[in-house]
Amino acid sequence: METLGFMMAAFSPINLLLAVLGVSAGIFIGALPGLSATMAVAVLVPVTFGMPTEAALIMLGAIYTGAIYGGSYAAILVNTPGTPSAIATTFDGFPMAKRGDGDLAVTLSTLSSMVGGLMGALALLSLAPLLAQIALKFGPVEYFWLAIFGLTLISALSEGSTLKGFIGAGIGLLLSTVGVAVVGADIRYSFGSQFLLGGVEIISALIGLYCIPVLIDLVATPSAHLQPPGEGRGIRFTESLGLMWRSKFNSLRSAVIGTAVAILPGAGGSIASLVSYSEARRTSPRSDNFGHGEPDGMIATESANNATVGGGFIPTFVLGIPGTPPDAVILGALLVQGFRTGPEMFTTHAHVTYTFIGGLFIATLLMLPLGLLIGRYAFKSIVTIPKALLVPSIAFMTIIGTYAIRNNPFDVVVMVVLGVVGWVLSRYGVKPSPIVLGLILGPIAEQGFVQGYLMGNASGSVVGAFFGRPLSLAIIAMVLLSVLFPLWRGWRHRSSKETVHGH
Amino acid sequence: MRQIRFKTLKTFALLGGLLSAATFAGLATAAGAEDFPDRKIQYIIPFGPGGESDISARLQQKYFQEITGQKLIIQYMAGGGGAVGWSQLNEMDGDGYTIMGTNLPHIILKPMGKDPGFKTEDLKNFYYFHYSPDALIVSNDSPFETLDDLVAAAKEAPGSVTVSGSGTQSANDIANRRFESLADVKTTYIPFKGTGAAVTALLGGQVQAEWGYTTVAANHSDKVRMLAVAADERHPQFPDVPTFKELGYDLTGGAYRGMAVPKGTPEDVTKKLSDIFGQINQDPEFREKMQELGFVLIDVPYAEMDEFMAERRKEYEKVAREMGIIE
Amino acid sequence: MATDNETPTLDARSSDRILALVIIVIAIGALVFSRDMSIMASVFPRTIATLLLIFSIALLIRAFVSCPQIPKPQPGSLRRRLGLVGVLLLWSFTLKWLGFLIASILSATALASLAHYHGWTFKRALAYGLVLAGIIAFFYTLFAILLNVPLPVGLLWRHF
Repeated sequence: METLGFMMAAFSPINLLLAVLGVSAGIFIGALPGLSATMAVAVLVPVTFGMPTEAALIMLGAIYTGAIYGGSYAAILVNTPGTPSAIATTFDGFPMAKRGDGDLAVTLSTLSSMVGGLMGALALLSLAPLLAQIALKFGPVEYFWLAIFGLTLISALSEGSTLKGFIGAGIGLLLSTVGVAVVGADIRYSFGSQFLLGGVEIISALIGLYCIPVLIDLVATPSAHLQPPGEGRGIRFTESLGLMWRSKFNSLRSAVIGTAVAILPGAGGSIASLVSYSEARRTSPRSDNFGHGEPDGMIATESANNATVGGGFIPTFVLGIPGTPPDAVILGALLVQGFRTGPEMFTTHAHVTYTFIGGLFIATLLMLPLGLLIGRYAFKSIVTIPKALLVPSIAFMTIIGTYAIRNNPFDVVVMVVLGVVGWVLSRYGVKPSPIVLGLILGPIAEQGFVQGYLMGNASGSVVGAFFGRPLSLAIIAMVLLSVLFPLWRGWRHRSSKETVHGH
Repeated sequence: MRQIRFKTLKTFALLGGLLSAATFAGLATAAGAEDFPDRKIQYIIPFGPGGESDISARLQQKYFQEITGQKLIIQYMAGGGGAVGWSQLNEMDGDGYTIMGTNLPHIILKPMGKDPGFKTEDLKNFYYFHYSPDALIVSNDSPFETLDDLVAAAKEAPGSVTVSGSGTQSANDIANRRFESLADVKTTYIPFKGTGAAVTALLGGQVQAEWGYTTVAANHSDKVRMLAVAADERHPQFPDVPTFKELGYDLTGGAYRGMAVPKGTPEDVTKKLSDIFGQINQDPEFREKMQELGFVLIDVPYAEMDEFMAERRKEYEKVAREMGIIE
Repeated sequence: MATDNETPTLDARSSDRILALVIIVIAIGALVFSRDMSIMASVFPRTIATLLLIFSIALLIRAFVSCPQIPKPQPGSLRRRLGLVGVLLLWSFTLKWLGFLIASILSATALASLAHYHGWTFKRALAYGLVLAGIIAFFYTLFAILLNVPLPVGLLWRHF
């Protein structure tokens, strides 16, 4: 009951106002390609120094929630995931927008984000200490297998040839090794350039690989970027509610996956939405439509990626280990405010923690009205703005956004070059998603492998280290399942009709 | 929110000043150190947010604003373990309004290997304000009660004791090498990406010990304990933890943090900056907060920088030779 | 990118061969450049390069024994596409030298004319110009002033 009291404290008028401001600013920032949740939170930190801790945390949580949700606009409307966790949103969101269902896509993403956000906050409220213990069980070896598991999703995610999917992933994995190595401290593949020392920044790669090809095809023809929506359909709220109801299990399952995977510091957020997407595709009766604008796919990824907000806070609060980059900033702000994370967060400082969780709930609920309002406007303006203005505006945002990630002008060059290479490669049948997946999972796989090897060596059995632990065996089983299932599906598919899928 | 509003108005007013300052950069900087700083200062951290460099800078932020009345804006320029930022520092405007965090041993060790795009002597450091002493950390339920227990286990089966740490050729790696040679033992050092990942491995029982800092122990005080601290004196936050020196190992060191300006920054402005940050270091509230987080404050102003760097350099060169970074 | 189930396809034999050969070159390059890395740091890139080599050889073989298809790419003007790529590259390279504002204004103007398919009237040019200037001014304010991002001022102007 005490907990409830603390949570109610979040409902004070001033806190509510801060939440509204935070969510709106977050949606706006998240919707711009390149402007990430991390940045939104980092900019706000000094402003919060003068505030009471609870108010500061509510505002930080609200802007974070809003930014993750806002990222879906960029993914749906211009095919550009603002964060790795929004990659899968582009798979179905953008095709939906292209064919004129952008309004439906935005409304669906709002509803799914809300379901996911509530689930994540609920887990943070009730299961945090337990889940944090599970997160600790993940050692280097488990991370290695998890990365391998992520890579096997390629066969489920790649359209067209699986072989080309693997080639794309290989390119991404190689790209991930550019720069200073964490293990060994070697400078790899920088070819003497100081600019390549920092490696390929993932978000600038995302912007380049997804957004530049859209721009390239946009200038090529006079036809509209997106189909305009039908007249007088509004935000298609009832239709969306119907679709959500049809996919209630999908949405809930994805939210659970999102929360559970996000508790793993570092790897979680980016893999969570991909896992839930491929899971939704595997179980859906309409699995063939996935990738061509299937609402179920979008519901899955958006439910999952907003669940990562609450999920990511679990290791942050309980263990003092930030789950995602924005969490790292919030953790820093907490330390500066004089709070130490750990179990104390749920005992001595319970008032702060529970007020914050209350704030997360409020922010998530506020997403519905604010999101529908802003989303409708965003969609309308993207549809109506003439091409001669749309192209330079999007290009401008990609450039300024990429620069702002690390304040590094060379990242912008890398972004454009990767975009052009990505466009050429996709003409040859190698799609951007496997490349990005390789880029994200490369460091996790590599560090996991080398660390696991060193640990195995110290204990006398490398094989035992990689195959001897129950948790890693469970992940290996998932890897096998994920490899074998598409093969089985492909076989079933081929026996029914000859298609261009598979080979 | 009122603060944001206020800031906008103020910065709009400053915009004119900024533009003219950019055009007449030469004149503006010559104008002198008396009224420096008269606008916001960019403080670039060459790492990502949330790390110790970030947190200590965030603590300085507040007091900088109190002392000068100007804002200290923290920016991140992560990449290459700091190399991306440091290699670009000297291309930035040398008017005192851009400063960058620098770290030891990074800025000395990195240029010893392959060319990271900057040279140690090219960095114009103006103040070093604290260090996080190295510490050997185990989890609360570890069988190693004392440092001797760990040394005995490592002697019995060389290489069987696993120790996590942040990065290769980093402060942690160096501490481990030096400890190995002082105690004449062999351990298995496992590099992780950052202190956070290294301590996760310790908490999860993946490794038996961790080379970290007093700050790590302060942050996770409920779950870990330190076997020894590599400082000259016991840390006031941990009066019960012995130093390596007390236990017979001549090991002191850690990750030092300071700030540098672009090379072209005028001497008087650099000195003024050094004075301001020296003043921050004297603030009792700042000292207390830093100490609570496990940092140890040091004062190396601009005037003593060369001497300080030369000393550290000698120390690291010796280790670098042992580690095979240099011949 | 949306592809309907009945997307027209193209014979991909020759394009697959080119792709495979390029990837083979990249993989061999990666192997060659991994020579002077330490053992710990070279395990991973070598493994990946080897796998990439195997995959691309498989692709090459497939392009000879069977007749793979790829979806027909979107049609459109190659000249405009190349123009866009050129402008973006110039934009990104000149950012540091010309400074953010000047590089952006020049490039945005170039892109607007590149993406425009109708005739230009004075009124339209003026209206578009104003809107673009407004957008750039808005984001410049947002980034440089509200978010405190140190946007490049331009190394070229430093000496004036």
